[in-house]
Amino acid sequence: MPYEIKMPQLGMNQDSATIVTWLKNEGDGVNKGDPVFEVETDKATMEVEAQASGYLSAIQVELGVEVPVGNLIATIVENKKDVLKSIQEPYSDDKNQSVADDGSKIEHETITEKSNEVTPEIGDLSFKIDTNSKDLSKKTGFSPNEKVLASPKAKVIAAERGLDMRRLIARGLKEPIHSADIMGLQSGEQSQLMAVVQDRLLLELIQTSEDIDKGNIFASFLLGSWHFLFPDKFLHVQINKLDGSVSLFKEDILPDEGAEEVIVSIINLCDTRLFSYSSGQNGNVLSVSHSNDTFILNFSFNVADIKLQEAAFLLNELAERVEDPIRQLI
Amino acid sequence: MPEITLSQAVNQAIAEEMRRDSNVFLIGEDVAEAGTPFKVTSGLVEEFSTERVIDTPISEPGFMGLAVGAAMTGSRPIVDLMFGDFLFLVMDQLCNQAAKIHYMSGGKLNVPLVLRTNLGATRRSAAQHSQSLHALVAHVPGLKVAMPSSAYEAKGLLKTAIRDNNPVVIFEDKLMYQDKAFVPDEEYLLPFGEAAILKEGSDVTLIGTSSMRQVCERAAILLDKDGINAEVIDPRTIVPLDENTILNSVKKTSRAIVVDEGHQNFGTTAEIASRISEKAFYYLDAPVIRMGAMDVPIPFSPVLEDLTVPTAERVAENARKIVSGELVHAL
Repeated sequence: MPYEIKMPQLGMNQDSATIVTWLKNEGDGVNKGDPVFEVETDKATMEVEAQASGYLSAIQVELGVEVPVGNLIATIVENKKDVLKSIQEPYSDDKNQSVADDGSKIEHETITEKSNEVTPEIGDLSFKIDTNSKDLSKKTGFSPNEKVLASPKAKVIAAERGLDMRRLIARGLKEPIHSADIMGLQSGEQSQLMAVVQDRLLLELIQTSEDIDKGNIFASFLLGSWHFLFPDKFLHVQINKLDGSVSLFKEDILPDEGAEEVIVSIINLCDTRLFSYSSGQNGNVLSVSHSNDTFILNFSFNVADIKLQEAAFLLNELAERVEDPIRQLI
Repeated sequence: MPEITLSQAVNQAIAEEMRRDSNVFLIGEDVAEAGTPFKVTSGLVEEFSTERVIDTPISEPGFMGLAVGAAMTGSRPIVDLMFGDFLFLVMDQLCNQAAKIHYMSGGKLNVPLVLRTNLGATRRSAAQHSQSLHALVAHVPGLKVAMPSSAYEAKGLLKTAIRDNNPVVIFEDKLMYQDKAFVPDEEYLLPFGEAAILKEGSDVTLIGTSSMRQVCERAAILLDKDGINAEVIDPRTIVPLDENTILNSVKKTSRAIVVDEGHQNFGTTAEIASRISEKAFYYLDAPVIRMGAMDVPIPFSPVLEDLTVPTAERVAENARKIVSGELVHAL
């Protein structure tokens, strides 16, 4: 175990000191009691003795820099081959040997040079970290700096109930959000409607082109139905995939200022054996599955967003469009 | 249960404790014949003589130092400091000596001393006789600080203070000396570090010290008309502070306004508000609001002076804002 030389407490009210001279070089043999370096406090300059015998190694501080009491200055190692130039430097026996034979002034210069060499490496590293974090924010699709104005209590309740604040704001909640706003949302209960639709015409249509995504088809049918039924309310359709990714279904029309906005998530289960999905969140989810020549449309909705009657009209209209895709064109 | 003034309550507390314990004595400027400018100690010299009710020269550091020495050697002095503003004169005796002697003597010496003084503006006494400096002494470890909010608290807390083996500073509001409250016939003591919930509520916690308790109670009545149910808490002592009662209340209401007559900057309101923010953060639905005296020397002009201290109307206004969920960064 190397012995650690730390900045000693040399006076009652002294909490730091500056090393002004090294009396030993890295690699030099030291005996317990040998003066190793000279420090200057605000009151005096004095020599500091080694508390162990061995070889001076791994000097951590530069001359003339104020060092807090207790900070690591250097180590004393038992064997000459363990002598290290500094903690950042990879161990190299030859280098150590040559520097250890040099005088103290030269050695100090060498260290300064070395620390210059290390700097670009650190620069590279931080650059890498930067690019990493950029990639990350691209993946998640939102900036982590996007703060939601909400009280601590509101945030706690939202977290407990698995609610996403950003989504609540998109649903028309005004900032700052308080606990009562979230409690109010909870009173809007979750309801469910289901429709079973023949697949023949739609499948025929899809087969004409290989790369049509069923999720997108249902998203555009849903939007068409919505605009047909509720021209005053704005709908955002987002497509949730089973791998957890979420994307917004593109729409050219932007909501009018002050228009009521509703989000519906579509989850396409057609190519799986899965049957229906409802989210842990209090949102509106349309899951579409396929079996026995039929599409099963399962619409789970929050009555605070969409009333039962509206949902029934919507699902009915959607079902008709799926069954007879020509309706979508009219 | 008789209704008595705060002044009478303090007088009774001193008389009862002096009868009970012959080591208790009263010392200060004009405490004997004059009975203090507020007539709080009138009649005591007749019963206990000038041996135990001692008029001093006008030298606060002198009699304060004398009392600290007397306390260290077995007496239980009650020091009357005519105005809270004179605390600046006794800082060394109080904060460097009385507060630290038990500690510095390795627990061998006690300083069972009570410093009675006052606080409060709007008495048209100008900047040097209107300050509320309790935060100043509350900052110093080793001093307990009591802030009675009515005659009932004044009597119960003063008796506890006199029986305490450590220095206690007790602040009476000079505007409240003639205010009456019901006080039990039989003897009672009010423990330190136990806040009183004066009104239960569900929407906002109003914490008021000394006369600001009444301000909070009036604000609660105003808020009641708007359908806002405020809880009112009087900490009674700020050192020790009954954190639990305050935190439990805020956890229930999710909102708090701290009202105190000391200057707002670096004051009692800041201390209580920060403890709430630290320890009940995840229960808060609004920023904790501090309402202290304006950070100016208290003006002599009555119109201006009245503007410097929190009022029930302003407390209610702030409560309405935070209860309605208005975006409040600073009030």
